Amino acid sequence: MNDAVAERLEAQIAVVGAGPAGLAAAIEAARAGARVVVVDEGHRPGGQIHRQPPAAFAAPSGAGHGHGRGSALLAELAASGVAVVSGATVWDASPRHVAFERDGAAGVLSCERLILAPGAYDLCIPFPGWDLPGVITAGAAQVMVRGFRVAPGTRALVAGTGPLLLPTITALLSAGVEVVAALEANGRGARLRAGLGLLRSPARLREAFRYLRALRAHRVDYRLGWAIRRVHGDGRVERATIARVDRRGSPRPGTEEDLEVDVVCAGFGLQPSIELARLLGCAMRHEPVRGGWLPVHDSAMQTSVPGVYVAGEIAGIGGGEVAEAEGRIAGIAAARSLGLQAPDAGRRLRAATRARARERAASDALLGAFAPPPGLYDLADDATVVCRCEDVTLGRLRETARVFGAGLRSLKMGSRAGMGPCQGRICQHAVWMLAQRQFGSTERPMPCPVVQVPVKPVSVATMLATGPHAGRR
Amino acid sequence: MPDRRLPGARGARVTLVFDGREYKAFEGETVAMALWAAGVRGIRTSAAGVPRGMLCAMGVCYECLVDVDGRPVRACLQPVRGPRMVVNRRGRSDGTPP
Repeated sequence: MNDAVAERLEAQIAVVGAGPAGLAAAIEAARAGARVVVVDEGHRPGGQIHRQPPAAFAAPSGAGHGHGRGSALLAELAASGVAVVSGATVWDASPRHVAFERDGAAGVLSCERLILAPGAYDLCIPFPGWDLPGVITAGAAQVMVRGFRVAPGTRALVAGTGPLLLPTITALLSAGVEVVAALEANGRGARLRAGLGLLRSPARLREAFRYLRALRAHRVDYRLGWAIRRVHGDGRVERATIARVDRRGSPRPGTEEDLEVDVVCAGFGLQPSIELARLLGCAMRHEPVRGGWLPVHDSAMQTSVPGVYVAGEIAGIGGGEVAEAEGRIAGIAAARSLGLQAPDAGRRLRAATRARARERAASDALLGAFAPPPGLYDLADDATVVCRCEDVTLGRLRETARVFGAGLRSLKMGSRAGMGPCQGRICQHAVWMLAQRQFGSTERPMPCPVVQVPVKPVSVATMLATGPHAGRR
Repeated sequence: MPDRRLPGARGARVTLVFDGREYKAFEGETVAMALWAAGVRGIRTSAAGVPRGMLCAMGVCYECLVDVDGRPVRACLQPVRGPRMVVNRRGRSDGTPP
């Protein structure tokens, strides 16, 4: 059976994810003298935040554009000798192995230490019409513009909550897209609280001012306390209805306005990708502000499973600066545990630890200020699809709750919501919230997601070739 | 046909065939990006029979699943391959054709 595994790789330290956390971890571990291999689902290292255009596009600088920190990190990577396996979907792991599928073929990476830095993805809140083609996440808009130089549309509506709406708006503007309106569901108080929090992080404050200047320069209709109410169209986005929302995020009747748009970019913050930590049996704790269930870790970023480390969004939503700092800490610590250390490791560890504390404080303030108000879960009506994979509507969930109960597990088993190929990544948080608000569920906090192999769908041939337990031999 | 590409260098020309129609694509692009740039939005048919398109563009949502050589792949992660690549809409999960 082992012959069927197309790629067998070995490293002292394996890193999952090539965003700022994974790259910083790999760079530090390599500085200590460790053999490091990074596996990543993207086409080129950088992750979502430092996304590089495809190699075939021959970017003039050869690095990410517009992001000074990203360019620096990618330059460090190039000098480090770290191998990055791109285009690899990780579907199973143990503390000594990572199993992946690449271009349809099975691969296994063996290691002595494992650093998980898989990043995050957009949190979705369903609203009527959100399943129409042409509604995309805020992250997707940035991928299109910064990653592939494709304009998402000609007339865009940006709507949701949180600081990530701002770079989404500026990305659209840079692509020549008319941003017809940009809606932040939180009110002025949120902006003030966020501003105060940013005083701790001068870099982030400068970035925020840069975004706001761009919005003013383009006279973007930026509204606080507004949300998307409904998207209309025949097979694709043609029009959107927006409405004022109250302090709790519930739409106010009679305030609706209609906008002609051909793309809607919706963003409500990020969710950490915790699946691999859960699969590995890491102890989890619930931290609502940083994204819910997160693996417990010590000051060296080691989880409750010896030899398994976490860094970046998987350790709690915090942004690129936090991710890079935590990556450095994890890389230095993992190498040290193998008896490997660069001469300046102590100094670098102290610097990263200081940066981590500073940036965590700033990002916690932002997350607290811009948390999606719960009334946004009143946007969906009974015809709104909640689970897109299995086409489960809110009405069907309501009926399921009546018959089987409103607990998350009952709703999943009774309706198939969350049982499609995305494995609930897009809908489970919404299903749980809707159950609280509309079906009388008192299940709190959200149950920690149940994770099974494969954590992302891969072919049966790949699973058979690899065998159980990530190819442990 | 609209072209939503912004100026800048790209890879070699690729002909992308989707649902039997030919579209312009460039090496380095993914199937999802090439179709979006050509104005194609719905690329999958949902279980209930309605069109769906790319949502997350980063391999999480699986809304852009298409058929390449009989395999379901995420169009947002699948690079186009020259000189000519054939991609099909997937059948519905109940087995009826799209």
